[in-house]
Amino acid sequence: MEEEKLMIIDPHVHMTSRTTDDYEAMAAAGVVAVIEPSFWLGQPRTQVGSFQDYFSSLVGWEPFRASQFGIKHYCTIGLNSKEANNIPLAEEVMDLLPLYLHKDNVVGIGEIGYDDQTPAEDRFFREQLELAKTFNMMVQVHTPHRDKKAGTLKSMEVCLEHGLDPGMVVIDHNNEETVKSVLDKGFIAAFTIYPKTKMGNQRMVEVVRKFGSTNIIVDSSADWGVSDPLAVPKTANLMLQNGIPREDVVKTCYQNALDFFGRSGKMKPEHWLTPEAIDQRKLFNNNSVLRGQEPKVENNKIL
Amino acid sequence: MSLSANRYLEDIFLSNGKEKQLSWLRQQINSILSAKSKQKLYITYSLCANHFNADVTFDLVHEQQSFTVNTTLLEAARLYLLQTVLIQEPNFVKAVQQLIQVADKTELEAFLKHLYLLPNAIDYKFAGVEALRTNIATVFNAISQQNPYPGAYFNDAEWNQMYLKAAFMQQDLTKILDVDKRANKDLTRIILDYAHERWAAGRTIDPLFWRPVSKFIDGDVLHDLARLFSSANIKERKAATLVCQSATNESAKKLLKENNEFQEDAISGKLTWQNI
Repeated sequence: MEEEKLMIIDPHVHMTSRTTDDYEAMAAAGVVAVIEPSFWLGQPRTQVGSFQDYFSSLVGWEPFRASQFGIKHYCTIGLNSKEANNIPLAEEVMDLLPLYLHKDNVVGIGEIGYDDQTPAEDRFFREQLELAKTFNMMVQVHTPHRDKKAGTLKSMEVCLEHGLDPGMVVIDHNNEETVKSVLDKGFIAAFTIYPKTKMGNQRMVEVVRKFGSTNIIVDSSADWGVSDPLAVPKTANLMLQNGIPREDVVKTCYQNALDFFGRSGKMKPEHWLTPEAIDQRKLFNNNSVLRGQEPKVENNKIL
Repeated sequence: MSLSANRYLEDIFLSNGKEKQLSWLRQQINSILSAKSKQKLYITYSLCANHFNADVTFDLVHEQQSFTVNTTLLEAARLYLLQTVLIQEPNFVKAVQQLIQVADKTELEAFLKHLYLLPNAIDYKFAGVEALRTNIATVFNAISQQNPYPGAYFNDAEWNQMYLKAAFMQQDLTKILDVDKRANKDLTRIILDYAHERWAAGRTIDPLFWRPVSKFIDGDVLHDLARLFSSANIKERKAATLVCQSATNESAKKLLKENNEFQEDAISGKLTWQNI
């Protein structure tokens, strides 16, 4: 008998930049829920209003869009490290952030951390860690592409210096060089599977073989650049093919993300185990995801 | 809005066993005011969700206005926060406007329901009028039903837009406040045009829709009232009775005499717009 299809959570994917084809393919590949961290959009923002509308979209339009393809959408809200370098703007964004943290689909503060490891980045990273403490929320930390190892270590030191419980912090974009220190310090280690750079999925198989599945999370970080929104289901399949026990695959590609972000009290398996049936006739502020197609309507069935 | 209304909310928190939460909120308010910090205001606004229940409701009764609004403890805490901060520091008005701008549907409904209770409530007119443009019935009803804000702050064009849209969306018109007070000549024309359009299309009109025409009766209105009096729908005959009963126009009074089926009920107060 064929084994039951795996359920997948991609806990780091910038769906705002992806198409409806991606949503369809992800749902077909078993993705039941996604978490979209706030990030930069390629073009630097110059007005606080641009951030406001972006955050509003992450708690409004995008969850609606995802629901139209049967995927539950959550997000983390934060000021990204790159744009933290525009200090006057960053100060205005910092004022705005608290207004979003209590919204229904916001499961943490993220993605925050260092890019070039400048003093401004350091200042706003620390301020946001304090905000996380005030709200008792999980933190999703972006680690730098350049000078990664030092940047990762510094991110963790600063979290500890501010008194955060490492179990409340996920350190993202790890590689073979950083994973051990992250796990040893009690943080959650997330791995981004990129098609060409950073971690490829074969490397991920070896990481799980070596370090096991405890406190390890796989994500795609798919965004507006060359990236793969199917990275997590593809990696899950590759792990199974390479003899990684199914239990470890479930933990790294579903359960660990759920256990971690579920601590927010806002992310619950019943959201996708007993979902509202897809009904593409629905509208959000009078907008539809359809452009003249026949709406897809399914009965409310337990997947 | 006065501080006595504030004490009224305090009593509600205390009677719900929220002493600790209230003292937390007071401390936060002091710290917001001494730092004059928008971020602190937003943090407190968000954190209220951790201290006050969203599932305990009560009827908030306004001191002078005859309206009550069903409120949760969480909504009341946020109302208390905004009231207190705005009374002490009116410069927070922009921060509160931004707060309303990013509200989700549930929060927006809460704001609209309580808009009248904010100090300098006219400062939030944009949000109130903007809510008329929505197609989300719960948001539209939050501003249009059991709400004294439109009657107090909307201009005639805005008020008429609300009234017409409520009828168009087939909402319960008995829940709109100040219908008699805000009746105007232009609205009478709008009502007639709408009625004629519906009749031409062979469709019906909510009889309650006629209420604002009483004080603006002319030949066209009389013609339509005569049509209502001869309607097979008892509610339309009752509506025509009530319109004529509160009219000062002599021809309307004459028309009522000729069609006196419900006149006594209207005079005795047995028949009203609420029980039509």
